[in-house]
Amino acid sequence: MNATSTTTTTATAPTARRGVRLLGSPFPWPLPAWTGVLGLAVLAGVGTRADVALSRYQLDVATTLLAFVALAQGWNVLAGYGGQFSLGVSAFVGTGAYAAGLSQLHLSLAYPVAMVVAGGCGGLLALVLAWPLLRLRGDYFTIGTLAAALALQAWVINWSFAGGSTGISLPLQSTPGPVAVFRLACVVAGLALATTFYVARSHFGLRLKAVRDHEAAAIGLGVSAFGHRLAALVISGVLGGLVGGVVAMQQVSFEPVGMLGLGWTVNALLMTIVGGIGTLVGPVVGTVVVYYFLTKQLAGFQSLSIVIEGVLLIGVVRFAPRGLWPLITGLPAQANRLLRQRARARPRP
Amino acid sequence: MKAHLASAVAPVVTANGAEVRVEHVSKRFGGVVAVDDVSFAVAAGEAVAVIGPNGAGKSSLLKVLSGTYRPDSGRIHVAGRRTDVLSPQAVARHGVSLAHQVPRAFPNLTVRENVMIGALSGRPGHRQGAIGGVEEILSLCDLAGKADVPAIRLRLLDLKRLELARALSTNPSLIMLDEVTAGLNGSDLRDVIELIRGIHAQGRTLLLVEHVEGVVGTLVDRVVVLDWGRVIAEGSPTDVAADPRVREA
Repeated sequence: MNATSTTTTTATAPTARRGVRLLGSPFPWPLPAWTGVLGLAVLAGVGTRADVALSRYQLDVATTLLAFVALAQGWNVLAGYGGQFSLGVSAFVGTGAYAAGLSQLHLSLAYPVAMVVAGGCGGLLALVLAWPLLRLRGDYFTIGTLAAALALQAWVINWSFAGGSTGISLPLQSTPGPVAVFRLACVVAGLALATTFYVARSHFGLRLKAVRDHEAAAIGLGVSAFGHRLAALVISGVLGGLVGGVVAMQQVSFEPVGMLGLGWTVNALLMTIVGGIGTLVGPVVGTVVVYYFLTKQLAGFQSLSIVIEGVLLIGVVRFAPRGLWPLITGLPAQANRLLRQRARARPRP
Repeated sequence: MKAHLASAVAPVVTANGAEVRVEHVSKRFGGVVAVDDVSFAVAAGEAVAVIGPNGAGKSSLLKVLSGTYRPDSGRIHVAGRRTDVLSPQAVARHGVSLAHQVPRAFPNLTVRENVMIGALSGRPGHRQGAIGGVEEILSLCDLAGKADVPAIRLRLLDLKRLELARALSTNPSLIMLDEVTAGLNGSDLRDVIELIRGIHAQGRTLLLVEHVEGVVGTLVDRVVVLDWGRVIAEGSPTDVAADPRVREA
């Protein structure tokens, strides 16, 4: 180490490293939270013109796609950035759906207000579950979330006020039409993307990743591990609740076996892991691949699509454990490395 | 080199008198008494080594001081505040940091991000301009050229440097080093010793656990000898080395 060289590095370092990178975690953060807000605005803008451009069926597909994007990102924040592998996604979706449905049925709330209630109840459930669940770590946390989701489903099936196993139907006069539901999905997906942008790029997110990587070491640096794990759980709870609200208004009538079933959990996991866990774009890619290309395009061959989903998951975990998106963005670097190796292998004149 | 290290970071202003006061601290794990009625004090800016054979309770003592373990009895005061009742993160924010023998880097974060965590969460009053502080710490620890490398790709010497950089990042008034030179030899060892000297030159109180005798002799003013969890001797490095009880241990 020598005095002059280190001082020059110090002086130039902060300015020399500005640039846009979507992957990894460079510093200083090149994409501030406003990019997420911009994405939200664009999505809502698309939403306002959707009724002219899209058919009823396309609108329905797009709505579900956006709901899944939000759901996958919520799980991504919790598991990808927070390292808390939850199998309780369905509990939050179901809570949101029932909160939206029951508040419209019994309190005659307008649907935007019911959406807020849905998100709030999702967050509230996360707060309540945090008390037992955050004492658990690793696999125990995972099993705890699964148990909570199944217990909630069993309880709702027997809850006569919420229709028991037959479920509930929203009052038709206060249910928004398909275009309005699509716009809701735009807003929820935009919110989920903005939140993930924030978590990936902010100081909060940096500390959350530290807790994920080494909890004891993070605590030793003054980070409140409990606070950050709780925040990740609540963020994912609110997003799950909002998705539940959207799905409730899209389906109008639903029952607990589907709305609180493990299908939501499996989809959120599959989409995030296939696309790229712990990345911003990965879950979006995963949602398009899993929902649009597999579930929708192969809707006529359901058993085939399930087989392909399984094969895809195994393939991704085996050959691209970081997911499809890091695989794609890593290609140029891979090609560079190959070219350099070949150049080195060539004898010099 | 030494002059550069001393001038790179402004000295820390510390309280007068005893920086660390350990009073009758005991820590048991089941039937094993790891730390047994230990009392000693360290003055602000002093460098003290805790030595002793394997299993003497040295690392446990440091973990009690850092708040990782709560003592079963006794009191600990650091910089005028009782710390044995605080949570580990509160102890860290109060200005106590511990560098571990086995580096505990966050593998998926870059070197700079590793150091930023402590700068953002550590001792308050320091967060203003914390980012600039990070760059200073990186160059002090000779990591400026590797700031954007993920920690997982570092070799041992750089991991050790990163461990020290992270311990520094919370701007601690008391920095504790748990055998950070373990596994190093030759020029790598000399580099890290120079770095520790530089950290002490910033005016921080230093408490280190060491096995390598050369490290202890050149770095510290005073030595506390532990055996079976008890303090069996205390004094300057040369006095302690001459003590028959220490020789025995």
